[in-house]
Amino acid sequence: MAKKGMTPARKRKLNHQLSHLESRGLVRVSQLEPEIEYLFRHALVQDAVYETLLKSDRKKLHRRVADTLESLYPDRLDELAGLLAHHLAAAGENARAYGYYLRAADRASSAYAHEETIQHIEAALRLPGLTIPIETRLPLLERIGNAHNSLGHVLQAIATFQLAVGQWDNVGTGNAATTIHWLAKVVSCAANAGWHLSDEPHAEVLTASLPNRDRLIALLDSTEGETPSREIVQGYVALAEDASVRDKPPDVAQAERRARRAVEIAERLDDPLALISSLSVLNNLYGLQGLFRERYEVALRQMALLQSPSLSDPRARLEPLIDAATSAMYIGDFRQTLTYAQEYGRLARQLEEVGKLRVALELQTYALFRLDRWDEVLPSLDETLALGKQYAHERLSLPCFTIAVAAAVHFLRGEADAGASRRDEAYQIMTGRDNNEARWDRVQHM
Amino acid sequence: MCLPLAAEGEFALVRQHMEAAIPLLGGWNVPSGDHDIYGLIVDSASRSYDADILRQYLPLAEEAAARGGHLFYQALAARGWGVYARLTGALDESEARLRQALERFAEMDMPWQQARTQMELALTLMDSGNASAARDLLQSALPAFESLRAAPDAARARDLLETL
Repeated sequence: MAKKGMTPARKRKLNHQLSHLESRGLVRVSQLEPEIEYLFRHALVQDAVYETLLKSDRKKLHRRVADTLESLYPDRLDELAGLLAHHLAAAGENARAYGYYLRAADRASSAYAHEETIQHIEAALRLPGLTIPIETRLPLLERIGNAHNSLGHVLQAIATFQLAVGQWDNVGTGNAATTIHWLAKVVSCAANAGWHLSDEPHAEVLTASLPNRDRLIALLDSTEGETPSREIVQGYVALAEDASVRDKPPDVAQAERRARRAVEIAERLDDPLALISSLSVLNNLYGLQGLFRERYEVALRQMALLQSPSLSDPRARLEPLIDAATSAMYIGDFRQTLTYAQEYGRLARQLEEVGKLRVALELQTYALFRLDRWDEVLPSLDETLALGKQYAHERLSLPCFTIAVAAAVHFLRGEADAGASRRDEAYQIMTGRDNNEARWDRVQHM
Repeated sequence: MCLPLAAEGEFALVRQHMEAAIPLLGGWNVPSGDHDIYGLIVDSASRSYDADILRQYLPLAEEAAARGGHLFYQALAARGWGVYARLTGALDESEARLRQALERFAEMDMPWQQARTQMELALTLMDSGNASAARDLLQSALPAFESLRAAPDAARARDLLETL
């Protein structure tokens, strides 16, 4: 990059200087094509050189790098957005840096790179001296919270949504729909945190979300008779989710009333996305009550809604697919379970939703086992284990159920040693994870 | 854990675990329905030819499977009734129930379940004195077991064929 657009004399001089640094072992060529690039051999050398620069010179250099990148590569600005944002921020050009951070975040989001999305947006929000209006700030916080949620970082997601509630309250516009939206985000995230947390921390999260829940109920009561909106649907969905997990045993009747209210409003709105999420919570409630045929009917309705042309976001397909796969499993239709689970898995992989991919593989393995496709069960387990290694930093729980299914295949084939080994492995994971053997002995019966 | 236990032949343990789970039915932390519990008990009892357990649990398993519309467990219950009928000497009833189960497993594309049911039907037909039909069924089940590498079932099918 540095040499592009230089006069021949300047290029010669730079080549000489770089060769000198290279011969002294301070820098090395990192790539030759498409353009030659040099890197410091050691980060400490880079830091030391950087520290010798006056702050004002550093800023000038950062600005020059950014300006040069912009002028040399006008058609690659999205790709270079993160780098440009870094140099502009270091140059104190915060308004320009802000734009590039968001551009980098958009690029990361489109590739479902959730960690990067969070980093870029947080960096943008941290830039000093910028006044970011609340209408812009809140959607950015929502993107951070959603990205945390996708990564299974539920505590960070809830904290982000609560921050948004606080910021919105401070503005004090009195717009109930927006308040309902943010309260619903907190309540829903807390209710669903049980997928990622064990019982005790989940109970703490639910307790912490209680004021938000009570405020949401009061707000929704106050909207009775008003024009329906997607936010009101979202509010009732969150309350239904909350009622289905808050108490033990859950208040299923209350949860179902709220879910039905959400469905009814979504139908009036003729909003397929809102209707899918309302039906999804109803689907889960039917499952809790053992109404498996009814549950499957709801799942089929969700799947039919996916044909709506207004649903272009692939993310919208996730919930109906997993609901359909699970519902089919509970009525013993394992061919449909497999079809939906595989499609869910493909989508989860594309969207980098690692936890969901793990669930897809578990369902797929069980369906394969039930369909007597034993040759495919063991590779499915291998795929699940490989996923755990690939995403070791996500700390996916060990697939004890999938390992138990593989053990069953070994036993059915008369491979007693391999079966016993896998069976013991599954048992250890199961009891170790729960730290209470007696409970697992009773409950984990499949 | 009952899937590997059942596959291993630890049928008493399967029943013990499942019976321990029955009082938890309807509890907030039991994700599946009673059809899972009764289905597994009945299938284990079918494989261990335990008529007492079958008599006790088959009505419950059949009702739960029908209530939930669970195709697989309905087929397991039909096979369970077929085995129970043979154990109690009702051979016509046994044949009818096993043929019903066989049809259901075939519809669901489950080769091992089909082959297992064929083997049970062969046993019923052997008791009825219809060795030729029993042989046909076993000769159909054996390659299915072999193709799945279900060694213990394949060995049993071969042993039965030798007795005919």
